[in-house]
This record gives sequence, structure tokens and C-alpha cells, in this order.
Amino acid sequence: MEATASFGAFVHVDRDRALADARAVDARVASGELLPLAGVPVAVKDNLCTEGLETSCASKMLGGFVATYEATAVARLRAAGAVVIGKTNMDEFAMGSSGETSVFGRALNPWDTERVPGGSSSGSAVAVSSRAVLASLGSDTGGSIRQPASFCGVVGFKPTYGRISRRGLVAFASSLDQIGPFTTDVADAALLFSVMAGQDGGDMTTSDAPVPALDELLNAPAPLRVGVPKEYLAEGLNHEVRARLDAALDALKAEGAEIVEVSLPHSKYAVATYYILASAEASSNLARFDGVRYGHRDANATSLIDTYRRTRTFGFGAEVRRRIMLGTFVLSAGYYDAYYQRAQKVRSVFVREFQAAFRQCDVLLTPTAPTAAFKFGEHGDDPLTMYLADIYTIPANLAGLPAISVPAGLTAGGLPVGVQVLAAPFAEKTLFGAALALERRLGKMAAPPAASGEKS
Amino acid sequence: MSVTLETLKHTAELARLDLSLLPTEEQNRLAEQMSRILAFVDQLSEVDVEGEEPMTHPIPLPTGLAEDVAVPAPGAAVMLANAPARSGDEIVVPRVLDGGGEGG
Repeated sequence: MEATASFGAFVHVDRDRALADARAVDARVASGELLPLAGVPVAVKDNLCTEGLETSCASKMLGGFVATYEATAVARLRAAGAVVIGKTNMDEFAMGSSGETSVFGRALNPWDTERVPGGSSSGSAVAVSSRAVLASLGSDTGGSIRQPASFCGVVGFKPTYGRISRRGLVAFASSLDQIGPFTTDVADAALLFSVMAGQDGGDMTTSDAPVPALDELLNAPAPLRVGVPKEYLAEGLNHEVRARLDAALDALKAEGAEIVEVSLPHSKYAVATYYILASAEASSNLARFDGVRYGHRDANATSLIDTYRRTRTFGFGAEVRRRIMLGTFVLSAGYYDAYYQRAQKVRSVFVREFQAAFRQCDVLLTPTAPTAAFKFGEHGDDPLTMYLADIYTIPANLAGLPAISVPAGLTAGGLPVGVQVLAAPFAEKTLFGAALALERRLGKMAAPPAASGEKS
Repeated sequence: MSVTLETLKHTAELARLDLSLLPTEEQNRLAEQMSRILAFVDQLSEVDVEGEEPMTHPIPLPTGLAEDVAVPAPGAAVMLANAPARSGDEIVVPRVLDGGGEGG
């Protein structure tokens, strides 16, 4: 744990509680209970409510906050015998793609500590990459599981919208957020998915679609038709990312797949659509943070409304403030139709284009991110540059699709590159069939050199 | 589109933010960044959305009602444990109305 602390993955740890929980699991096993995750150490992103462990969303706004209930996804892991080691670092309120906006300071990429681990689930990716834990939970609104998974050389999976309950996930964008696992291999991701997925009365957006059994997922066949969206292979695509994508295509061909070129004509509008919708939803969800009932309250406020203004202006960091401002603006009178409602209509177009694509293929294969992990500060002061880096991951959130990033090798400089598989809504079985096929051919990614001294 | 300081101020008030509490260069930076982000998202005006329905969720949500069953409430001690200021079972806040006299 000490060595991992140097990667900045963990922000709240309760060692005594974890040991007590582990002993309790031992007792359950000894009494004959069959637990799919008996004793497995897991880490949980700091925006998931946990009993007894602070939930601060890496923000001053929730510093010291201990949730009054536990997130359903976490409770299901515990019920299956998992032991929650601690909460992981993240971009503040899940807004970011690098881990650089955390109030706790940055998590470091174990493959190169001068580079970002990605975000917003930075700590969860690092905790698994460094082998402090075998699995962790993140949340994904525009790529916040898949992109850090790609940057850190681990598997990161976002299920279909509605598969895993969001009860207890501090909401960022309610129509885009999903919880998902980071793991060291695809089979473990399927295992965690099977433990957590399923309708929850506490979240009315969960689906009653039957969850495939674990052995169905683990034995899913390789896909027959793999689509590559031609808009994703623009000339500017980094040649090392392209090389890994080609290797992945070769792998699937070796498994019997036919490669099909498909088109998603409105792809270039995905980032703009996302930033309007996500910011709008965030401005609504973050309106609850007012300094009254819990969390930070500014000590210098002289009236109630002053409390709101001072608490929120000083309690939120710059990126969060920026997105709240953007979201409030696009929802405001005079701009709502031109921005928010228009973005909602464009979202319908995306969903239709994916439906058309999935009539021509079983899965889509794409890069996860335009590059391998970039250096801290590389994107400078320009939020737009950071936003554009989410170009391959955002569409799956807009369309609610299941998506997974699988390690696909290293760059010449030794940095991990992931590739992404997308499937139709609720087609996790098809998705895992493709992911397992990729892993069979490309091999599992080893731990980074810096972490190879870790005990597992 | 270019965001005026007036628009910025109005938007901030809607969001219960007070930008005048921030350093001037940060206010200016925010205005400039918002203008650039809005200029970027303006590209959506190119898309033909004639006849499209606004989509609130990508996946149709299940309908149906939950059972109307009472469950034990966590209780005031739990619910107020995170309150910044308490008095008994009440949360203490600064006066609701600005200025003199007894607050609400």
C-alpha cells in the first residue's frame, strides 16, 4: 500500500476496517457460503457512496462527507465477498480526462510518472495498474473508465446504460453516467459485471433486461463481423495508435472475423453534443451542493443566499465552475432551444446511426484514445483541447452502448495503448466475445515495471 | 458566440455562483474560455434536425411503479451527521433575509 501511495491512487483508506471486513468474509466462507469474490481486494472511486469511508468526489465541496448509505454497486460487491480497501483519486466531480483537477493532488501513471493516468477515474485505473488491488470501480460519463484504462494498460468496461444501478453514484450527468470495473483481464471484468448488474428498485433507470450468466459471457464466441467506422480513421490519427488498432483487427481476423467498413456520418458532432448535454445535466445535478445540509459551507457568508454563492464559488474548482456555467447557459431562456434542445435532437441522430451500423456488424472496433498517456500540463490552459481527446469514447455514452477498452500493446516508448470494442445495447455477451478474442491473440498486459515489486 | 460579462454575470447568478469573488484575470479567462467553447458547440447548427425528437435517454426506460412499502427511515442522527451546523434536530443556517431584523 505504501508503494502505491507514491502513485497517488488512494485518497481515503481504512486499513482496520478492511482487515475486519476480510475476517468477516473468512467467516462467511468457513460457514459454507459460496462467494464469487471472496476476499478480493477492490478499490472504489471517490464519487461512489461507501459506508464508513468518506465520499468526497475529490472536491472541497464534499470534504469530510460520509454518506448515509452505500452505493448499490458497492453493496453488491461486498455481498459477493469483496473487501473494499479504500476510495480512489479522481478528477473533481468526475469532470476531467487526466486526473489533474483533484483537490487531493494528482495520481501518477505507473508506466511513466511524468504522465497522466487519464481521467476522471484516475485513481481506480492506477490502483489496478499498479496491482495494489485486482479490481476497482470507476464511473464513465464520456470515457472516464475507458480512457484511463487505455493509458494505464488495464481493462476498463462501461456497461449498457441501465445495466448497473447508479444509486449511490454522485450524479454528474444522469443520462450518460455508468459505473464499471477496472481489471487486469477481461474475464475479471465479466465477473464483476455479473455481480453488479441487474435491476435495482433504488434506481428507476436500471433495466429489467436479463443479465447474461457469467459462463455465457466467458464462453462467448469471437465476433463474425467487425465494423470500423471510417470517420474514426482520419489522417491525423497517431500512427502508433493506428498500429495497435491494426494489430487488433488482425487478431480478430485470425479469430475468423470479417472486417467491414461502416460509417457514422455525424461522428464529428459528438464532442459538441456531449459537452452541451453533460454540462447541462451537471449544472442541474450539482445544484444540490449549497452548503446547507452537508458538505462544505463557507464560513464568511452573512445570509443564506450569500452561503450559496460563496460556498459554491469557493467549494468548486475551476473546471467544475466552468461546466456549471456552460450547462446553466445552455439551459437558460433564449438559449435552450438553440443549444440544449438541439443537442438532444442530434443525440437521436447518433443513436440511429449506431443502430444502422450494428445491422452491418456485430461489434465496432475503434481506438480508445487519440494518443497514449500525455505528460502532465501538456494540454495547458485550454479546456477544449482536453475535451477533444474524448472523441472516441463519448459516442458510447450518448448512445448508451456497452464499451470496453482492452490493452493492445505498447508504443515504441513503452506506453500502453488500448483499443475499444462497442456493441449494441444489452449485447454484453457479444462484446465480451470480442474482448476475449482480442486478449487471446494479443495477450494480457503485464504489470508496469515500476509495480513489479508489488505483492498481488 | 462571444459571451459578454453581462451574460456571464446573469448565468452565474442562475447557478448561484458569484464570479466577483474570483480574481479579475480568472473572470476574464472564464469569459474567454466560455466564448471559445460556445463557438465550438455552435457547429451543431450545421446539423439537420428537422423532424428529430429531443432524446432524454438513449435507452427506453422501463415503466411501472414500485411497491408502496414503508421502510425504516435512517433517523435524524444519521441524516444530520454531516450538517455543517446543528441545533438539536435542526440545521442552523445564516439568516434567510439579508439585513436587519430577525431572520426566518
